[in-house]
Amino acid sequence: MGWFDATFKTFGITLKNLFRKPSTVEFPAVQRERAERYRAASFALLHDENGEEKCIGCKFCEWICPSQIIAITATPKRESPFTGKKRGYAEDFTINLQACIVCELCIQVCPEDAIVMTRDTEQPGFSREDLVLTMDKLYANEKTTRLSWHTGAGLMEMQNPQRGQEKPAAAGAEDKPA
Amino acid sequence: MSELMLNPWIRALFWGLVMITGVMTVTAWSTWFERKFAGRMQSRMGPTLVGPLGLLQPIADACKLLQKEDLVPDSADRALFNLAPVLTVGFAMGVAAVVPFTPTMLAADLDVGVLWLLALSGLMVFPTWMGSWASNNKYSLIAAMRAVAQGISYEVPMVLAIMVPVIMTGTLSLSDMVADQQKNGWLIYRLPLTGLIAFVIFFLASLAEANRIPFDIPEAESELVAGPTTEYTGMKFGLFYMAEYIHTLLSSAICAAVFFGGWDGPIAPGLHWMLLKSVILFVFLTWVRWSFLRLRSDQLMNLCWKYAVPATLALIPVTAFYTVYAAGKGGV
Amino acid sequence: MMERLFFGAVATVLIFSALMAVGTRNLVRAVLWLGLTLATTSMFYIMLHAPFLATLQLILYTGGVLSLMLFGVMLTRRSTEQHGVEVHNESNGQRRALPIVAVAVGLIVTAVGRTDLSTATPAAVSPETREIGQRILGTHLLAFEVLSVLLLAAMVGAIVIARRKDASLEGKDDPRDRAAALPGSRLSSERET
Repeated sequence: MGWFDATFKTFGITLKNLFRKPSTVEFPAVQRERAERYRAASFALLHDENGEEKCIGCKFCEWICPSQIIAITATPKRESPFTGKKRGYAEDFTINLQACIVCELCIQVCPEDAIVMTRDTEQPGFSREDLVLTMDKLYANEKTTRLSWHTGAGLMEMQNPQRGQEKPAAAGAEDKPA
Repeated sequence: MSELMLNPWIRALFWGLVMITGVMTVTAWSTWFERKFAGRMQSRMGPTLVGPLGLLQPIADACKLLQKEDLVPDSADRALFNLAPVLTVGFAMGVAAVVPFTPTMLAADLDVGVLWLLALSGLMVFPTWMGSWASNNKYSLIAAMRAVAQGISYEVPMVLAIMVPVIMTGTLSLSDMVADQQKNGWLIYRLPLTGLIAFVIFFLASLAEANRIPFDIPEAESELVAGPTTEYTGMKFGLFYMAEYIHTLLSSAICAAVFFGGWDGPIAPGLHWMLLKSVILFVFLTWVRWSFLRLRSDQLMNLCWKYAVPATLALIPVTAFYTVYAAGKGGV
Repeated sequence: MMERLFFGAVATVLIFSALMAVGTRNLVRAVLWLGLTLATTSMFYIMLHAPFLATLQLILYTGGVLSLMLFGVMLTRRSTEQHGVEVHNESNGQRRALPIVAVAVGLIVTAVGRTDLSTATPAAVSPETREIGQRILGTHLLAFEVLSVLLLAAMVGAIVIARRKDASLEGKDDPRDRAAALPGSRLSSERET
């Protein structure tokens, strides 16, 4: 009897489903599991192992950003308290997340691997100011968010082997002179 | 103060207000229950943010609806447009007056309680039609014609199906029906077992009157925008929506009273049994809602005229013959 | 005292809605005013201690007759006119009808005035349902059965009148086949390909 099956089997299915654990992830209290290289539209600036800021204020990321959301104020070179050598610093670093297209070009172009993306999106805010990342927030994100492809993006090794590192062994590649 | 209460008019007004408040509150929290239940059936949580377990969600919904802009279309018939939601909710709540919660807790102990609820269920199709006619919107008018056709078609099996309990208990008054069930057994299992079939048909017909899935082609939430209530915004829309829930809740209460013995129970007869049975029926209705597909208009009409009406027409003589036979045998 | 006040209020509503039902220009509103008139009539039945009649009035008149009239208005007039469906009250007709109405009202008022209403009490029988039922199926059984036959004849007649006389629709239940059988449909030619 088609209609009998249709009626009571349906009841059975929905009843069984009633007692199953819901598959909801209660965002934003619980963040989803993300792949290691997953990038969301948020950023972090990194310190190196001595505790010094990696960013040298070269403005490559500001120059390459297609949406022009990065604004950097650079300072003249000054002495680093850790190594004693003169190096550049960024005095102010602002990213306006409202227009970020998550292209990751800024991460790829950075010569110092100072900027990374994070795996967790920024929380929505009540005003436009909440969506502009200031320098303090960017450095704070280093500790508080999950970074994407954390250890310096690895792109420098892939793209620029002349900087003293081995070319990665590609299939069938022959050793070329450096 | 106490001699004010002796005046039947003041008493009626007071208890009327109490009943209205009670019905509206229960309806509001039944929406919470429905959303939670539906969510769990669909492997998701229902409302969780507003209040613990989302219990204050109905209040948030009410506030949201109240602060929406109250639009009346330019070419709409203003008076009828504004009157329609009020009448729908009014007729739906009128049924609450005859529901026998306990032997003493009954708003209006009418001798013709059954007819009263049939009258109000039948009257409910008018404000729906009126609302969409007043909207001056051809789209909602088509939906309203379907709603009216469905409403008046399903009145027939509803009236005929409830004649079976009337014949078996010999009275039109709801409280007398429950008292009779307390004496002679619940109608759902009394011989002949026409009570069971009558219950199924009455239940389905009430679902159809309330425009609930699987009979909600007039509103068809995911297909037609909102059916007859397309032009309604804010609290007026909320009132239409609430009327559907009120009708559903009161239908489950009526079915609990008429077929399942109302306040009667094996251990201690009282209000708790009535509420328990109504809640079980309401849960069952919600279960039905989230399990089935919507019936198409013609399938709906088929079900009514080709299956429900002949079934009830067959039930009535069987019940009548058996009742007279049993009465003759028992020497009543 | 409250009873008299209530009676006065209901009577006012009844008379007002009856006047509006015949006086308004919008036909749909006229039907709805008629609905209000019928509903207030049921309130009078309640005041006369006849709840059975009151609820029957609501079910049959307000529920049934009103549906019929609304469907009638909807389906037979151009219902999408600008200000709703219009009623034309010609002043010629009103002038001609006035003496007839005056005579009729005069007759009714005289008849009511001359009736001795002092001994009339509301039905002390409750539930009067039982009384009505016993009379219908006892004293007035023949009239009841004749009415049923009349209703049956009316229904059969309506179905016969409304039946489609097209033989080409015989045996076609699928809506697509029925649509294809209509004149002017392009479906029938396409279905053969």
